[in-house]
Amino acid sequence: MGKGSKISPRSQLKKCSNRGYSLEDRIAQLPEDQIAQLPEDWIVHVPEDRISQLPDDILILILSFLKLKEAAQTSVLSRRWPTLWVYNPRLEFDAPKALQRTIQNFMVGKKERHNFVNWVNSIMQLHKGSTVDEFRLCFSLDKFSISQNDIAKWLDYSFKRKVQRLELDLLKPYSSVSCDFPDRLLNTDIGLSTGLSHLNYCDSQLPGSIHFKPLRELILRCVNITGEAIEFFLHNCPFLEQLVVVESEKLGNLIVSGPSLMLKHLQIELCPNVESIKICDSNIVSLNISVVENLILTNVPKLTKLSVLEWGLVDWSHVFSQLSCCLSQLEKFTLHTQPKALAEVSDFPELSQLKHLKIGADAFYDDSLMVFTSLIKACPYLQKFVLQLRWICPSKIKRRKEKGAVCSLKYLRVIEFIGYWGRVSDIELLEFFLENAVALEEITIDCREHEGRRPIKGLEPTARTCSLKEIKQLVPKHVKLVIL
Amino acid sequence: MASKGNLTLKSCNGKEFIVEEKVAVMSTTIKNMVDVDDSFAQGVIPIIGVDGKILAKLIEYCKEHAEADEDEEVKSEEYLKKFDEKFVDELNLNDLYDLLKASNYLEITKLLNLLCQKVASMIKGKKPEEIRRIFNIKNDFTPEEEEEINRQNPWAF
Repeated sequence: MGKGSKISPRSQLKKCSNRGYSLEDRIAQLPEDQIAQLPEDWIVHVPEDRISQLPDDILILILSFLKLKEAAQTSVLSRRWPTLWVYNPRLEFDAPKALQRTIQNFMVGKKERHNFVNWVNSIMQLHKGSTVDEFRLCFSLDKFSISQNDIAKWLDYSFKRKVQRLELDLLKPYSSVSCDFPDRLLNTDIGLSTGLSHLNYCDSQLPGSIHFKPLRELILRCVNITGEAIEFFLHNCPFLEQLVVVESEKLGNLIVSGPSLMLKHLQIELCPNVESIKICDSNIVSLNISVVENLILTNVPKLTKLSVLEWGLVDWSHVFSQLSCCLSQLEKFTLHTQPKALAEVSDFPELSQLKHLKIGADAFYDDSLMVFTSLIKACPYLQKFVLQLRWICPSKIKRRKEKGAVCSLKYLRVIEFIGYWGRVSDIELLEFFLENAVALEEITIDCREHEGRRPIKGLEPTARTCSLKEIKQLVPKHVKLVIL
Repeated sequence: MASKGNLTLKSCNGKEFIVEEKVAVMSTTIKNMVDVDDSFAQGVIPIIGVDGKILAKLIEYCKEHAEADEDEEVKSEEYLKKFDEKFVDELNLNDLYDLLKASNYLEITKLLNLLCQKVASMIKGKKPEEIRRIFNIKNDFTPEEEEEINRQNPWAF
């Protein structure tokens, strides 16, 4: 600014604008007496950055509704922002694209895993929040791609910040070894008193005072956790509502017991070394399990949703006898099974409250599905039936159709058939429904190839053309037919 | 003067609103005032820093939600969801900021969360340049600082 020169505020502003300053900067740089000379509307029309003027806690709350990565990205906006996202109470670590690359290519995967762990560690180091409501990590990590210490550090950090929802979904690579749950975290005074003294690792880095109390949801997939450690959580987390343990190789025996537990949803699936599970005197509402040789289920009066996941050839009569205490109260029942395994059952117990039945099964060749009709007959009040077929090696064989027994399905209104392939076995099951379900309102036939199913080229078009022709003739006009 | 069970709220620019107590106490701040000091329940409660226009908006929101809390049958969850959507959609940026500050001050947690969610949805999936444009944020980093922040790049994975 030239000394003593008479430059009007407007031209002064213009000059500044050439240097790339914003209007606010330009006004701020004017001497006070010149600002006073500005016409009022100049100030009024300055586009304000009101968002950056909001108090920290509001901005932090705003960012908490974003994914961690998106929240972190706001760092580049202006000087106001880099200090905010680090208070985000939700730590969600997932990277779907990198995960895809990791699964597809072994060598790339090795590098991606390394980078992923580094990334999590760098974020954890930057994080400043006093609470972590949620810690969620989803990536393909096995015992060799991550140090046990890293997992322990992350969980320790989360527990100390009152984590309410903890999810580790480690999707271990095929034929690799899963990570272990860091039992030493449970080595608190409480842990010792409930018989976990054998887990007494010596680690000076991790002090014992960890707070498990606020935990409401614990979800562990491909993490080796023992029955004792699960029981530790059940007994030390008074608000725990949901517990999911899938593919833990270290789970042997588990007891879930006591009406004082808040537990509503329990899922213990695909744990290959499980010996016994005992669930008694519990208020759980839903239970998802795989078949366990030694399953004891007693006094679970609120259990209304049950899922049994078992792809092997098991003795379903035995399974039904294990579940006998709850079968008559179930409202929703899901089972995954081979049709052949179910065929061995001579007498199905009555599911007198059941409204919703879902069966997941494999489609081998032209193996008959009519075995399901015996189970359906045992559900007099069934309203909805869903069949989901995995295409393993379906094939069409010309044969005479089997007729199902006549039965009364008075309340069945909705049928979903996912993975329809147009085999004789598919069609004869549909005909069974059309003959017996008098109140049927809607049938959905889904012949798309679904993600996760083994892709077999050319399957879908075959399924589609076959179903279109035959089904349209079969389904009466008053039933809504949806073909996907 | 408000009749029994009603409270009078006065905005910073002197507008008075008579509202049912159950509506007013959706605000934890007001609830605490009424609980602690009985005179508030009879007299006028000044709502500092909130003008009449914004206070009217707050009351509109609280009315809907207070009624729903009282009787779930009257207003379904779905109805409230639709109301909430419409409520935030009709706000301009200035009102949004004012309401954010007011609901923070008055501790109307549900509304504060709703508004923050709205702002978050405006940030979601956008490039920094777009975000700056929407909210009039000016980039006050020096080129060196900007480079440093991009180098740290903790979100890139």
